[in-house]
Amino acid sequence: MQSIIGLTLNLLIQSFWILVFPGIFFITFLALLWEWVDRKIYARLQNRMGPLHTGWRGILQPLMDFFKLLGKEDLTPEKADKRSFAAVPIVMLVLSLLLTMFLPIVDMDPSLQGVQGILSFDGDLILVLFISTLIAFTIILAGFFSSNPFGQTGAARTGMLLISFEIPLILSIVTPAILTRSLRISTIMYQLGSLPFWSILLLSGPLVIFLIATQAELERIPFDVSHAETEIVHGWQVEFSGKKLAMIHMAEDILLVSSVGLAVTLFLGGPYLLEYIPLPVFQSFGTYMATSWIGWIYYTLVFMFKSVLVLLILSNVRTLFARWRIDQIVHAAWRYIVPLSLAWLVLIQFILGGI
Amino acid sequence: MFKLTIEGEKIIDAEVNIGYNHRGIEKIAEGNTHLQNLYLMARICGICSATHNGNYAQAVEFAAEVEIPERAKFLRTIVWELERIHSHLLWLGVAFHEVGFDTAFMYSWRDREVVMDMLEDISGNRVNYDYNTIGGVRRDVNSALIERMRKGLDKLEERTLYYRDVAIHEKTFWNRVDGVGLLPTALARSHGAVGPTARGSNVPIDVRFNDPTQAYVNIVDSGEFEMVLSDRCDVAGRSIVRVQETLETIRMIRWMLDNLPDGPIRERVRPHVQPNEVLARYEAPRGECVHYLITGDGAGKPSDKPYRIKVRAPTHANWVSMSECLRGNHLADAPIILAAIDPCFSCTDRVVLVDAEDQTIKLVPLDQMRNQANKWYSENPRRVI
Repeated sequence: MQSIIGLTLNLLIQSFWILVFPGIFFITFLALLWEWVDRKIYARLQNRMGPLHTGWRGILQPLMDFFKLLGKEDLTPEKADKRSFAAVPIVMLVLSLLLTMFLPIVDMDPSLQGVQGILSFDGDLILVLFISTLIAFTIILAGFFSSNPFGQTGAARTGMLLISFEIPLILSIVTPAILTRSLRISTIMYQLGSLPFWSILLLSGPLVIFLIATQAELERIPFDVSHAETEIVHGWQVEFSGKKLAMIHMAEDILLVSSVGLAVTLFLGGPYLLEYIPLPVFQSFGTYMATSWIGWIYYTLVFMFKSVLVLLILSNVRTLFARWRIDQIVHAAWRYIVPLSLAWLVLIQFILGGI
Repeated sequence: MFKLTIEGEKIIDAEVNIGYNHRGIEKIAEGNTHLQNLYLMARICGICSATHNGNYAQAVEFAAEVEIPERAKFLRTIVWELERIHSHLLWLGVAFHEVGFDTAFMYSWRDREVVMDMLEDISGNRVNYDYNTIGGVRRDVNSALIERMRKGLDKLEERTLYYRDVAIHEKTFWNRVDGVGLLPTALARSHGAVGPTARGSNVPIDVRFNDPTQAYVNIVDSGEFEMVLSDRCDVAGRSIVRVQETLETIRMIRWMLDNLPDGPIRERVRPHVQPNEVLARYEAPRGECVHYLITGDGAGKPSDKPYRIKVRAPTHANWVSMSECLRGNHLADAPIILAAIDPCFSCTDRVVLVDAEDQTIKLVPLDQMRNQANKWYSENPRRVI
């Protein structure tokens, strides 16, 4: 009897984690919030007002947009592969949600050192990279299943983006893994704090490359070729409408959360902030936070704070540039970014070997 | 409308298909008096409203063979040139938007508000100015207004210089326009390109300098201004021509404000204009705009209505060169190449039939259309010549 109650309780707590916090509900909340922050920063930098009317300074606008799209007519083109066409948005949403399960936001397993995600095991970094590539593949499929010339052009362009920026993305993530000698996200994040101070220099280059590659993965300006509305009328999204489009938009927002979250986790030390100050007060503060339930709130807030900082950079980049042509993107990626990330890797090996 | 044949990302063939918006303005104009037509013409295009409005007024004045007061000429030209600033800034924003540079798009359209306010100040309206009337202009300016305009021009000059720097030094924008949409000089000549499209290909066509009317005569005589030309022949060349022209235009307006003559702003013209056949040309922001006007009632008597008015908008002249420009470029460059002629679909597109009852759209080939028209005219004889 005792064990059944314990099991049920455990199950309830597990479902709470996955469904509410820090799982699906919280991630969706973050996704909508990030979209609002992104739109607002983008608008203010362009001397516009941005969302204004729904909620406090339009903070509910992304949510209203989502609901509005849910209520819209859902059309499937006659020539489209119907089942696959309907499956693509769902697969995309599920994959992007799965990606966020690996983000270490709060301490899920107190028996282990540091902060873990809901899912955490040795080698999960490779799985995360694999899923992010899969999402890019779903985009290509979305374009091809819609059997629209614009959609197919967009899909082809996504493929070009994929071959250009997947490699720099992986190479940039390898650096923190080498520095900390681990392939587990939570361990990498925890070990970053114990690295010597000058390793910031070693991490800065890959961080820049990671942010550029992230901008490309998320298809934001200057890499928004695959859904450039002035050229190919929203590319691979062109045939999606109603609920499917709502799901795609939500998946994109969640992808933004996880990409920004990965940058925070792998390069900026995740939800740790004050612990890095080498004073006994802050050290004991860190220990207290790691053991108390207040730590959950503290870690969440620090994670959000750092994410907004990264988001600020991404939104700024989005404001600063014009869209590149696809050949210019591939050229830039293979001429500059891939060699640079390879060279950085070699440099790090030399430095570590030298020491 | 364009039909692009693409192979991967390359455009291998482009076909121009003019068509789908018949508004019947020329037909309506035949039933209106000249004074009513001024306001109808202004509504051909929201961006070139002073162009069509002023050019029609000019055409009627030519036909009536009246000379309008000097001050009216200057004021008319000032509004024309203000409109050029507004059109070029608008084009710049569109060009930025077409290459996905939305920030610069928002900024340039924000600063376009300055010139829109100036136009409202001088004419009373922001978009359809209707500033001209037959024999002069509707409103006078006073010294306070001139002072406000000078302030606005200073602001505009500062911002235009900034956009010139953005367009030239911003790598992502420059890479998108440099060497894109080549239109060699010989091709521009043979395909009859006009306006900034031609001047960007080093063809010296500018009605303001080649065949000046109104205050342009004084401007050309002053010798202080030169036609803006570029020998780059690509979209970048057209962009530079437009931006430089905006700066030149600001100087022109300053010069005109300095040399604004005194006197009346309007000359009375009899509403019944004698039979005449005139061609009025004006360099619209997009290129040469032609109004061909036949006055009289067609039977040799004066009439207050035009017998026939034909409008040739500049986009129509630039249209044909586009198929040459597009060929061999990337699909991604198609929007900016097309935008580089500053296309105005409202004054160029021609015919589609929309059935009002069941909302079906029918594309009608030209020969069939012509046959139908001939048949209709033979059954309904209209006027005798």
